[in-house]
Amino acid sequence: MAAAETVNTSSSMTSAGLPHRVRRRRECRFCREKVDLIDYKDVETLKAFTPERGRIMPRRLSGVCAPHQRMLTRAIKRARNMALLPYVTD
Amino acid sequence: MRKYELLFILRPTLSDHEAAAFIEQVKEHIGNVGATLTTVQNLGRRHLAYEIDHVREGTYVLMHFEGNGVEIAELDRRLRVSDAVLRHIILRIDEELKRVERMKRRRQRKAARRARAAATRQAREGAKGKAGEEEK
Repeated sequence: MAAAETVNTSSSMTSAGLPHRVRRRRECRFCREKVDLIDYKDVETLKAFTPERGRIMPRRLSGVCAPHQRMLTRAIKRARNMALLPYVTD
Repeated sequence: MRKYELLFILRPTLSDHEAAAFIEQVKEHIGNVGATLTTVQNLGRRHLAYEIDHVREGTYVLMHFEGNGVEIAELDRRLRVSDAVLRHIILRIDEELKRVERMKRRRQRKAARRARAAATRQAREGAKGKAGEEEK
């Protein structure tokens, strides 16, 4: 009984003894909105994934699924080429 | 027939008349090489995200056309050589569009299947509920 309790508490703690943050995995934004095509001319959408410096936001931050991230990356690069998005911002 | 999308940026120093003339030229060229133009859209003057050739603005023009692929090389060359064009891009879009269509159809089929399943489930449960009431 006591042993089971110890296991329980340790599993909800990190090694530093801090409680784990409960984070629910959200579905990819494009999957939720059922987006089949990410257009390079849709600057407003692309801008949401290029924070201040103009770099492409990594999947681990945006939560976008792999197929959509590929589409997004391609679209951002095309948009940059056509001067719709900046390559660099300082 | 393959579908293509062409987007190019015209130099802002061009007058409206010159810009229109250039667009006409491109349209004519596309027609001459045996491709069929489907849409032409002048997206208007836009601020460029960065400086190109010391200008910060440009007129964006979008065209869609259908062809078999051989006309692209010459069109691409002309756009590259032209002084009026700051940037251009030609994309083959038929396969992407097909994929989009496929996804749409798949979703519709799935929705229809789900609706059917829900309907039969409801019918079955409705019958069961009635039977239970009769027993009472």
